[in-house]
Amino acid sequence: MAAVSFAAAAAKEKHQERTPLQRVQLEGHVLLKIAKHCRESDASLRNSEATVTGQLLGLDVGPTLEVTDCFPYPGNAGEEEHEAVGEGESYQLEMMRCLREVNVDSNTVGWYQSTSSGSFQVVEMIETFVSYMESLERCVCIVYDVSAAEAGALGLKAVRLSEAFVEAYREGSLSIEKIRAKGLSWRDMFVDIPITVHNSPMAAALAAEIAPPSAATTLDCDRLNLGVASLLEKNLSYLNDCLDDLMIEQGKLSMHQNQLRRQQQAIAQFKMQRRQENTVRRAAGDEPLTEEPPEGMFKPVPEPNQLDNMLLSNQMASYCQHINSATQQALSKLKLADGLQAAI
Amino acid sequence: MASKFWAASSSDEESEDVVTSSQEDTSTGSGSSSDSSSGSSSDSGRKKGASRFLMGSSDSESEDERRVVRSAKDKAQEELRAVCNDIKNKMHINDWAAIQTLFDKLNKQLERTQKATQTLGVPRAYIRLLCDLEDFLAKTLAEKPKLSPTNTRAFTRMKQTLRKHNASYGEQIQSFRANPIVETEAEDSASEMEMTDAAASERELNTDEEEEAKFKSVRTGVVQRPKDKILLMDPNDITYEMVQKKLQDIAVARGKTTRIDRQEQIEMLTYLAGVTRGPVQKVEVLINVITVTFDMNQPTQSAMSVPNWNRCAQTMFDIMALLEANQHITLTDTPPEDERDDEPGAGAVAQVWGNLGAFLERLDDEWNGNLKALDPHANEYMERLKDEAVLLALAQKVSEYLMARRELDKLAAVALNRIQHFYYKTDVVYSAMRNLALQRQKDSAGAAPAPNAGSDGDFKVDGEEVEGATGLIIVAIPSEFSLPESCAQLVDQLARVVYVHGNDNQKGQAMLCTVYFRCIHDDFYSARDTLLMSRIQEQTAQLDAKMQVLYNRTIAQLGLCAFRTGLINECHQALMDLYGTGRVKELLAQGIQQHRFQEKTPEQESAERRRQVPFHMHINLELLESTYLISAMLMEVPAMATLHPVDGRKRVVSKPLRRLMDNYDRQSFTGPPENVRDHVMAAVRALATGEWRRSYEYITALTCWSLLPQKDAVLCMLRLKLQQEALRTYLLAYGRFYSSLSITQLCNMFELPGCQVHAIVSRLIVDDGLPASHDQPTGTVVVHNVEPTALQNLAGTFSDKASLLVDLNERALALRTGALHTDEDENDGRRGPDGAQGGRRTRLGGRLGAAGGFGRGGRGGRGGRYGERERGNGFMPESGFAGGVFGRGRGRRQAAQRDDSNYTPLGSGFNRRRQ
Repeated sequence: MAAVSFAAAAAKEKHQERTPLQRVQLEGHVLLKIAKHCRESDASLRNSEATVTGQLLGLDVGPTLEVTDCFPYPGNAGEEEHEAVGEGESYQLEMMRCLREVNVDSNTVGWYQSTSSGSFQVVEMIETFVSYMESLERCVCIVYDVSAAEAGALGLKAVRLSEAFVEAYREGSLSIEKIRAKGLSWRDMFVDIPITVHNSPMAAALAAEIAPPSAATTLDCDRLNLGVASLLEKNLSYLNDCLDDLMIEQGKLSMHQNQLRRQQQAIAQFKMQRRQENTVRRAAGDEPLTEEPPEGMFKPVPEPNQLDNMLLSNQMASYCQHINSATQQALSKLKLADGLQAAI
Repeated sequence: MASKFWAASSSDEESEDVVTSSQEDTSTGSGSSSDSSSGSSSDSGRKKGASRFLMGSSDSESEDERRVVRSAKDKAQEELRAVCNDIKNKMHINDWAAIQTLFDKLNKQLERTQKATQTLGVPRAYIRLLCDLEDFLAKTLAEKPKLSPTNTRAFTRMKQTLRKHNASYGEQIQSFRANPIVETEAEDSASEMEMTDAAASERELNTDEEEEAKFKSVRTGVVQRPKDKILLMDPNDITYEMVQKKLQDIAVARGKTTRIDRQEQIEMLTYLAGVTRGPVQKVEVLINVITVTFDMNQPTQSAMSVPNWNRCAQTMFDIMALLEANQHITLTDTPPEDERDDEPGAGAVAQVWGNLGAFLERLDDEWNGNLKALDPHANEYMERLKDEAVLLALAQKVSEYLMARRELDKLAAVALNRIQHFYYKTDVVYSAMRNLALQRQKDSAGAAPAPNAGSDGDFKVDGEEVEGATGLIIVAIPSEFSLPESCAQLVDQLARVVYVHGNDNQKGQAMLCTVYFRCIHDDFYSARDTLLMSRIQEQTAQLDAKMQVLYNRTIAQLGLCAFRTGLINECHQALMDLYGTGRVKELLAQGIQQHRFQEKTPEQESAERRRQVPFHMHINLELLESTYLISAMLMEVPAMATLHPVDGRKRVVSKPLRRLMDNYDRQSFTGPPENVRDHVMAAVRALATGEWRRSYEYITALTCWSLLPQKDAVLCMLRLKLQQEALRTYLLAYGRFYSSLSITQLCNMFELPGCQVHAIVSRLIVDDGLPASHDQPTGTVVVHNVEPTALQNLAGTFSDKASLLVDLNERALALRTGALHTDEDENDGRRGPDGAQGGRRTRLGGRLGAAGGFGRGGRGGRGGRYGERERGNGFMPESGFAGGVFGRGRGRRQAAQRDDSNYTPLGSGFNRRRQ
């Protein structure tokens, strides 16, 4: 994930008035850059399931966040993690400096990362977000879904954490009580921000110029592909993994409940004992002892953190959504094919 | 200590002595300078050593007694002196706190010394120290030196303790003060040498004698006087009142103090029994004999000694004979309020306090306890076991008596007691015991005149003789004792008595015993039906530990019985819960298991020890284990073969077996099988590939089959089962590699008749989804192999997992809200704790149940799951076994209750470990 070295760069950022972020305006070439980076690295890193990340640069104008440029972070620092931290930092700063010199917006507005079908909701993402938000109030993460791109769709999403969640997260471990008190649910963790793609007139003109005469492209052909099985398989296996994790979480919770109950029993027993002891003592004319157990005798049982639970829910929701849309399309395509065959 | 080294060089033998003497010296002659004292002491030591040898030949008793080299004794005394020394040293520096702790230590040391030397005498050094301390205390009190607060506190406390303490040694202290030899000892060591002559030894002798005398008087204090009076009287002069008074004395002394010598009391009582006036009094005396004998040992610590037990039994017989002869005497539970002072007329109705049923029970307990303490492989165990006949004869007499007196509740207890002696006996054992009893009866009838003379009532022996004779009491079995030919009849009859007259607990026990008995006699269905009718499995948690053990034993026996009858599924269901916990020994109370993650408190451990079942009642664990593992194997192996590697769906029938298999697979080298598990594992491996012959070989190699009387029939059954299951396994595992299979070939492979192969294949096709069909004309099975796609597999897994998660969630919620049992009966087996498998398992259970002729199969499967849940919750998982009959709601509710209460099951640490 992105390193946390932005404090310095972002500190220069003027403090914005708190108008909520309403949309993200993405420059066309930024989008292309992101797509290129993600797909290339995805091709090379297909097996390792690693995500690639990059820096978004741009301007914060009122309710819109204009993303005018970006640059990728150097490849995943799998092997030399320790060096990479320092290197990544210097690389970022160097990059920013260079970009400023060529008169590109050098304000950090967030980062982008690749994903495959919605598995971006992980703890690291939250951590990065929170560390970004310490210095940069309005930042986004643009998630580029590689698997969607393969199916011929543009899987692009701009997400940020909801205010309520960040607030709760900063207060420490997320207990059930706290979540309930704040009225949080897993749906409220991430906020999707609509993206508009903006092209400069020049770019638009160029696009018009190089557009092929035929309306049909290979991409359209891709879209007509009837086989959704692989996509479904992938999503299902992700879902299975999620379910396993969820069950572990469930196990943790029920263990916690058990511990709690046992402790309460122990406390009750202790009190009972004390009461009996006290009756004896009273009979003997001694001072009765307090019924409350002494400090530190019963340590409160630590409650499992609900963060993972929520994240898993989010992930599963996005997988389900993927499956839904895929099957919807598949069904309509099947219908179409059916009609076609009937016509022929 | 220079002296020590010095002396060490002189002679080895002396050295010990020297140390003591030198210490004595330093302790006493504390004022003298170290130089002189060491010199003199070492000197004296040597001289003393020399004189010691001289003295050995002299006739000075006391010296002899003290100086004989008895290392434990010497050491103890030495240590005592060392502590004395320390105290002296502390006295010099006025360190009262130290003195106090040392004083405590000294008292402990004194006890030890007394134990080591086996006298009650107090060493002189100790008395000397007491004197010194007293003096010093007085001195300090008079001087009032400045002391630190801790010291002051210690001083005042010391003052009090010493005052109290010295009171008990007042006499010795005085005698010591009157004659403080020590002073001379200390001042002049040479004089001490001379004192080894008559004067000193006499003095010491005197004190010793005094002490001894005192000790004796203390010991016999209670009984001494009456002994003088009554024992020496002419028996004919003893009146009713005298005996009555004596009896009251003893009764009053009972339980009052531990210092009474019970042996003497018994002597007294046996004597009294001989001189009583009238049967009423005699019964009273005899009952007192029993109670006092019972008092002689702590039941929690060790069992009664055999002579005592015999005496009790004999006394019981005497009482019975007396009661029979004198019908007007009745026994009551409550002691009569008004004391009888005058002699009741002959034949007048009289009430005597006593409870024969309770005595019998106690006797039975003691017998059991005695057996537990014995080594089961030793001869004594067998000898002791023979006494069961006595117990049974006694029980029979008591129950006859109670029957005649219509004391029905006690009758039930006695009947239950008798059942408990029979229920675990197979026919062979029973007839052996019967023969033995009859033989013994004959013997005792032949020898009747001699030993029975005593029991017939005229105790013309005085106390001493009785004491000597106690070891020789051989309890005669009365001639009217009889055991019926058929044990079943007897058990049935006794059980009926309990059912009619007993309370719930007794009825339950009797029921379990009959079930056990029927299981032993291969009557599975009636045993099972009786068990299920009783609904006892619903209340297992409320039962006491003893009954839980009985219940477990019954269940184990039920499983064994099912196995012998060839009902593999039932066998597995019954035994699954016992083995699922991995604590079979503990559950059956056949030994104490150590658990890795739990420590038992001493109370728990002793309670468990008390629960243990005597060895002759044990269920052979090896047989039980092989039975369980084989039944699990027969079910698990085909189930494993159905398991598709892709979807990872696991229908685990038997977790313990799976665990064993995993362990077995992990071994890098597997040698030839040695124990039960190895054999079964090897058999599993063979069966998994359809090689039933090899599997059968492994299983027949087990030694425990020889324990079964119907070994051949069982092995035959096993062979058939192995053939069938091997066929199933083979088809499930390798069927998809064939396009068609010839029925005749299958018949040859598995040595099964064609129709059976046909039946098995058909069932596989219908139930387990073997993609095949019969082709009648060619006599083949045609396999249509269709592999599910990856997506289908995934979807299947997903649905399994999802429903499992939902179930877990519901359970968690229910636990939290405490409404564990609400939505039970609406949703069928779908939402078991193991989720989607629930539904499937239910179906499976139904099928297997139907196959086994278990009419309730459909729900039986659910029951199986129950077991698993219960297992997590505590002791009695067996309710799962019967879950097939009783709804799930109850099972769950029980689990909830158990969670809430502080119920500590058999091994209470279990929950902790489990969760």
